[in-house]
Parts: sequence; structure tokens; C-alpha cells
Amino acid sequence: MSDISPEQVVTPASAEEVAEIVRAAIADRNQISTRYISPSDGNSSSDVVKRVNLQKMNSVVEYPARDMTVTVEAGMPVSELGGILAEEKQQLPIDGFAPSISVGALVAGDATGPRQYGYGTLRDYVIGIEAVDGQGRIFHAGGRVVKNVAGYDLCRLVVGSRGSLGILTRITFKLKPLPACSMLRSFRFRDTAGLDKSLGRLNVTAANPVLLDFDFGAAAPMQQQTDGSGSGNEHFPQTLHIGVEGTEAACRWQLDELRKDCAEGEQFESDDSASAVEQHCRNAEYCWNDNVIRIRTIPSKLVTVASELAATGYSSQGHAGNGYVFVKKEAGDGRIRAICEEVVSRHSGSVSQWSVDHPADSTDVLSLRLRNTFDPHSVFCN
Amino acid sequence: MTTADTGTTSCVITADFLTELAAIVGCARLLDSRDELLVYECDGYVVEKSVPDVVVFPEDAAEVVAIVAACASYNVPFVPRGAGTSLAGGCLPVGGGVMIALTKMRRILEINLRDRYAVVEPGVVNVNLTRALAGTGFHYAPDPSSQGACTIGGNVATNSGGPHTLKYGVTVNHVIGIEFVSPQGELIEIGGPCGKGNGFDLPGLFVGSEGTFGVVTKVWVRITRNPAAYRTMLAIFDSVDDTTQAISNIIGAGIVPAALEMMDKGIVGALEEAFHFGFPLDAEAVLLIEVDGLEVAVDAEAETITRLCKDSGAREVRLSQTEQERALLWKCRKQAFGAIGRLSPSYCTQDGVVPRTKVPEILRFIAEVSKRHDIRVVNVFHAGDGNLHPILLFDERNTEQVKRVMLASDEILGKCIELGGSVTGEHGIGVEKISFMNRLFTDEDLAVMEDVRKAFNPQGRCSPGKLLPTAGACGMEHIEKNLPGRQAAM
Ligand SMILES: Cc1cc2nc3c(=O)[nH]c(=O)nc-3n(C[C@H](O)[C@H](O)[C@H](O)COP(=O)(O)OP(=O)(O)OC[C@H]3O[C@@H](n4cnc5c(N)ncnc54)[C@H](O)[C@@H]3O)c2cc1C
Repeated sequence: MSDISPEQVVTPASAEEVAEIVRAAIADRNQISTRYISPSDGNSSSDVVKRVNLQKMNSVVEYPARDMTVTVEAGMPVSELGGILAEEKQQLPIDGFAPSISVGALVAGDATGPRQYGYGTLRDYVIGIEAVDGQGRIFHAGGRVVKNVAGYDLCRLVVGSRGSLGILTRITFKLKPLPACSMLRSFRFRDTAGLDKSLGRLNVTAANPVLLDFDFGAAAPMQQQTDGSGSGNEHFPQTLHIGVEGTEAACRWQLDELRKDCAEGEQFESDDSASAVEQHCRNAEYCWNDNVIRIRTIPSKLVTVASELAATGYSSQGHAGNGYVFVKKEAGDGRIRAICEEVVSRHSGSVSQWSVDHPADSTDVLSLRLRNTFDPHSVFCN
Repeated sequence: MTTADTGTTSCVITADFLTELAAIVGCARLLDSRDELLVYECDGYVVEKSVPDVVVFPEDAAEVVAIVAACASYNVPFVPRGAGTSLAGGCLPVGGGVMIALTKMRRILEINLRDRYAVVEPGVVNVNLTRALAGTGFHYAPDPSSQGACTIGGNVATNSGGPHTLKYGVTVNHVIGIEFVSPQGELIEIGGPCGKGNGFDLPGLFVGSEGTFGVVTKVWVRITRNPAAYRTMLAIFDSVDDTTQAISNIIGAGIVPAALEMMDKGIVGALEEAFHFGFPLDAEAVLLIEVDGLEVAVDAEAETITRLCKDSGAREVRLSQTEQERALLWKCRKQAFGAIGRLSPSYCTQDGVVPRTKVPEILRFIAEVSKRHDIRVVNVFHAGDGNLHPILLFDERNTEQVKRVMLASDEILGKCIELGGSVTGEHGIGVEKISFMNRLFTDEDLAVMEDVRKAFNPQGRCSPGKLLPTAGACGMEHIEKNLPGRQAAM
């Protein structure tokens, strides 16, 4: 924040004030953003980018816990929301974010983490929104009930739109109960055939894993090493981490099943602490690092994709059950994206990087029209 | 030659246009005689009727592209239609024009168990996908009660739900990609097996657009693992208040059953007469509750639910002892509409939603409205979601009674809004509920939605007169306003 003067940060206290800020920016031909934009940021098309900080819009609008929904202002920190929900033994089961970020940023960024395997993603939890578009119009979609098909589902559209269609001011989430107990197990594998076989079995396991993550070591002497808990053991270059939830008896029963499913692997590092799943999910924040290349493929191609990356010297990790592969890009490594794209082009999927690929840059005709509808004056700087 | 009016533009169905359509689909897959067209004057919502000028039955996406392109060049409106089970008039050809019936596009193109998705044509009947998955350990989760007839294309357009969507989510939670023909006649693919990619969630936006964004020609859906075990219970209550309290207590205890359905005395009586299940005829209401998951966990959940029901005043909680008993219980629930015919010559089903804790209040209100307007109302609905289906019974020959049905429906839906809910949980706005849109949304909300419609459907040729009041205000003159007729549903 050091290189942005205080007067360029505005802190509205209501959706109406956000709308005024948008209208003023249109009149002054300025741009605004809810994220920090450094002056050197190439995305800005205007000299002045005002940062809209929603820190004053951080309250709970309504939390009817027995309805299992909550409506909050978009500036509320996610960690604070988590604490409020935990008091009622409830949760918004979304991982993969820095705890300090706001719920607005969480939704706009469509944060996803390990437990998306069991719980789905934000598109499954946002049931109502209030936002201000690039014409300064305050608009709503969805509502406060868990089932509602009135009107177009603009909730889905704003999830992951990264601020390019509007500034979220209020969000209603559907919630889940907190599990009584959760457990994590890790299995390591000597070869990819064994890993693939286990993954095939896990797809139809009698257990009900909430997360199914992997680490895949590079075959060659490691040029690149990812963050997190890479196995780092050349005899067991691949690892699976599997999390289960339920009553303690249900968790233990599931762990027995998983041992059968992962017959080709060897269980290690059994962390029996109550927070092992939570800790694992927290570690997965790396996925959102600017320096991580993200590949989305279909789960059946995962081992092939990770093996081919390993053969070129890159280790990877990610969410095996959902086909997410993350590869860390070291400073000065100009080749990696091209390698990932080449690997993916042989199989199926897409490659992206948080700092490079933005939905607002989509060039298909529908996305362009929607952008033009929601932000005709290009007032939002992404 | 007939004239159709979309409200914004008028169109003329010329012989040239018909010849062009016939060249695309062949005469055998084109209907244009008045007698044949009458079948298509309405869907499951029979209050409003409008006959299309022509119905075509394409067999593949290329034919849909050609049909839509012809409509564009002759400026003729068109409306997609699946099985026609919409309960909101979604298929009504407002102002006439072309009806594109997708029922001949009914192939399951791919089933990929390892990656948990299937690719289907839009005319695939919902239950046929689950049938095709039998024995694999997977199923297609959205299970509308109409699943034996309705199509996946129609489900995508209306974002259908069903009894098991309480735990598994509605259609949008299971659609990962869509191929559709835009109103300009382009074939567009959004999403796919790997989801939405790096862009906007266009498949998410498309689901629930009620046919106003284009014609769906292919859908990528997620398939879901079958639960290892179920426990299905029937909880019997002597008072409606106790029943709704039990619902609230179950959800409040942090248990999300796979399904939690309520049926009141009126519906239970009709079901017993139809299916001889052994429902207690003196009970005021019953709850059909299913928990599913791990074999080791379901018994404990079933026990907790039994205790919560009993604490709330349940007279008895019966556990289904056999798979046959469970299947019969579900058959009763899913075919409840069929039994309603035993109660009354005509009926009208509503689709309101309230926050789950407001279920007791809305049911008391419905009872009061029923009494005040002297209209019998029975209830069978998705209680766990707060999604009500009050069924108003009447005789359509009695015009004065019909008026009271309309008034009572309006009051019930108005109350749903007042309690923080919505006027539709799964049936859609269609033409039926357009007048409620500006009670649910602000003018700005509707202006934004209108702009979104224009991004997909700039000329408004695709499904005119649906979903948004801006379009609904025009073109409605052509609709023959009949009396509310028989209307099946839940
Ligand atoms: C007895 C009964 C029980 C029901 N139970 C439920 C229930 O439990 N849950 C629920 O959600 N609904 C229920 N419904 C309502 C109805 O079945 C659903 O809305 C269903 O999704 C409609 O599917 P359909 O194929 O009949 O579509 P149609 O009725 O033919 O069309 C519905 C809408 O979808 C559009 N559409 C159809 N196909 C396409 C396509 N290929 N591309 C673009 N748009 C298209 C139409 O234009 C229309 O707007 C019930 C209806 C009945 C009669």
C-alpha cells in the first residue's frame, strides 16, 4: 500500500455509496478496483485507479442459523465469518484462501481448495448477491432461500468474475454443518501404475472422502520443487492425501476402506490430530500463488499429465479427484507455461495462471457482450 | 398464412419459410395442421394457451442451427420444447411462431465413470440417464417428480430440483457444460468435462434461463456415486405444527437428510386410496425422511431423527424394512399428483419457497387462506428446502371458485415473499409468474437481467414473453386466457 496515496483509497459504508463511487468514476473517466493496484500494473487503462476498500462493510446482515444460510456484507473477513459460523457448528466449506481476505474477494476469485472434492465449490454455495455494476446500478439476484429459480442466475456469473462485472456488496451463502470429526491419511507409491490403480479404486470407494490430493515428484534430479508437503523421497515419488469426515467411528471405518483402496501404496505419517484436515487445507493456499501454473484436466488423465511433467523435471501437486494439477514457477523460469500447455494439448484441459489469465480477457462473443453490459465504460480495473 | 406477434415485432409465416423448414427436417418431422398443432397449445400449465404456427422435430444440432437460422432470416419467433411438463407455461409459444421440439434428440452420447460425467442430447428423459447408469454405482442426482417424462434439456432450462436435491443440489450443481444454438443460429459450446475453464461461469448462468438464451443441443452433466446405504422413515404426526417443528429441529440439529418431504392429511388419504401403502388415515401429516451415506453412519442418523421427531410429538416413526417398501414409499411420493385427481376435478399447484424455519408460519397462513376463500388446499412438498407445493382444489366450471383460487394463490405467494422467500423454487417463472417479478426484484435488478437477456438474445426472438416482465407485457394479448384447468404437479 505504500505506493498509493490515502486519498485514492475510498471506504464506502453502503451499496449506495459504492454506486456513487462508480458513477463518479464514470464521470471523471477514472477506474476503480476492489483490489490493490500498483501504479506499475499494466492492466489499468486510466491514470487514476481508485481502490474501493469495503472494510466498513463488514457486518452480518442476517444469520438465521437454523435456516443454514447467512447474509453478510462483502467486506467481512473470511476468517471472521468462519468464527461466527463455528459458534453454531456450521461452516462455509471453501478452502484455498488467505484467511485475511474478504468474503467478496473469496467469491469474486472463486477460491477452491482440497475439500471441493467432497463439498463442491462456491458456485454451489452462493445463493444470493447484491452488487454494483459498471453503470452504478445496484442489482440483486437469487435471494435468501436455498432453492429459488426466479430470474437469471447472476450469482453464478459473479462467482469467479474477479471484479470485472461489478463490486459485490452483499452475499448470501448456503451453509453446511461442521463435521463431528475429520481424519487425514497419506499413502505413498513407488510407481505411477500403482497410483493410477489406487485412484481408479478410490473413484468407487465405499468411503466418502472429502479431499483427495496428490504430490508427484519429478523423475529427474529436481529442478523444481513445489511448496507444501512433497514426499521428496525418490523411492516413493508419489503421494496421496485423503481426508474423511463424520463421527469418529465413521472416520475410522473409512480409513480401513482407504487402506484397501490404496493397496499398492504404503501408509505413512498418520497425523491423528483433530486438525489434520484443516491444516492440510490451509497448506493448500499455495495454489493461489501468482507463481503457480494451474492445470485443469479430467481425473483419468491426471497421472499421465503429472508423469509427463515429472519427466521434464517438474514436480506437481493438486487435487486428484477434481483433476487439478499445480506446478510452481520459479523466478526466471520462462519455459514452464509452454511445457504445461504442450502436455495439456496432448490430453485435455486448460492451463492458467492467477496473475495472467483473467475472465475479463475472455474473447468469446458472449463474454464480450456480458462485459459490455456490466461495464460499458471500462470503469473496473482488473 | 398466419400472423404471429412477439410483442416487439410481428412476423409472417410464409409458404417459403415453411418450405425452408421442411427442407431441413423433412415433412414427416414438421407439423403445421391446426389439429396436430392443438396438442402444443400449452404445457403442464394449462391456464394460458397459444398455438404455435409450426412444430419441428430436429434430430441433430445441425438441423437446429438451420431451423434457428431460418427463423432469424424470416424474423420468426421460436420456442424450444422438451417434454412439455413445465408448470409455468415455459413452452407457451407466445405470439405463435416455431416450436422446436427436442424429443427426437435423445441419445446418451458418452458415459465416463472414471471422470464422473455423461454427455447427453437435450431430449434424453431424465430417468433414462439414471437407468443407463444402473449397475455402475453411479446415478444422475437431480430427480424431479416428473423424471419419468421430463427431459434433461428442459431440466437445464428450468434448473429443476426434486426430493433428493436437499442433499445433492439442483440441476445447476450438476451441469458442467452446454452446447446450444444461439438465437442468431451459431453453435456455441460453454464449459465441458473440465468445467468453465478460465472464463465466466456461462454454463451456470445458462441453467435456469428458461429457454430465453437459445436451444440446448448437448449437455455435460456430473454423475454422482450411489450412497452405500439408506434408511427411509415415515414419521406420523397428529398435528401439522408438530410436523413442521420436527422439520425445523432436524435441520437445526445439523442433519441434512437426503430427502425430507411432507405430506398432509388430504394428500395421504388420496395416496392411500390409490396405492394401499398402509398410511394412517387419521394422521394430520407425515414426513418422508431419507438419510443416506455410509453403512456405519446411517443408523445413528436415523436414530437421531427418530428421537427428534418423537420429541416434537410424532406418534410413530416407521423405518422401511425392505427395499420394496422403500420403493413403494417413493413411488407414492413421486406419483402423488396422480392421486390428486381423486380429490377434485381440477387443481392448481403452487411452488413457493420460504426460509426453512418459516415453514410452520406459511403452513398456518395457507390453512387460514384456504378457510377464508373456502378453497380446499392439500400439501405435498420438499419440506427440508422450504419449497412448498400447496395444491388448490377446485372445479373449473365454477368461475366464481376459479377467481377465489387465483386470489388464494396470489396471497400465498405474496406471503412467501413477505417471509423472505420466493415465488418459485423449481418450476420457473415462465409466463405464469411474470407479474411477481417486480415484487421480488427492483427495477434496476430487472433492467440488468433484461440486459443479460439481450447479450444472449438481442432481438428477443427466442422464447418471447417469458421470465421478465419487460417482455411479458407485450404479446400476451394473443394468449387465450382460459380458466385454470387441470394441472399436474409437485
Ligand atoms: C407431475 C409433474 C411433477 C413435476 N415435478 C417437478 C419436480 O419435482 N421438480 C421440478 O423442478 N419440476 C417439476 N415439474 C416441472 C417440470 O417437469 C420441470 O420444469 C422440467 O424440467 C421440464 O422439463 P421438460 O422436458 O418437460 O421441459 P418443457 O416443459 O418442455 O420446457 C420447460 C422449459 O424449458 C425450455 N426448454 C426445453 N427444452 C429446451 C432446450 N433443449 N433448450 C432450451 N430450452 C429448453 C422450454 O422452452 C421451457 O421454457 C413437474 C411437472 C409435472 C407435470
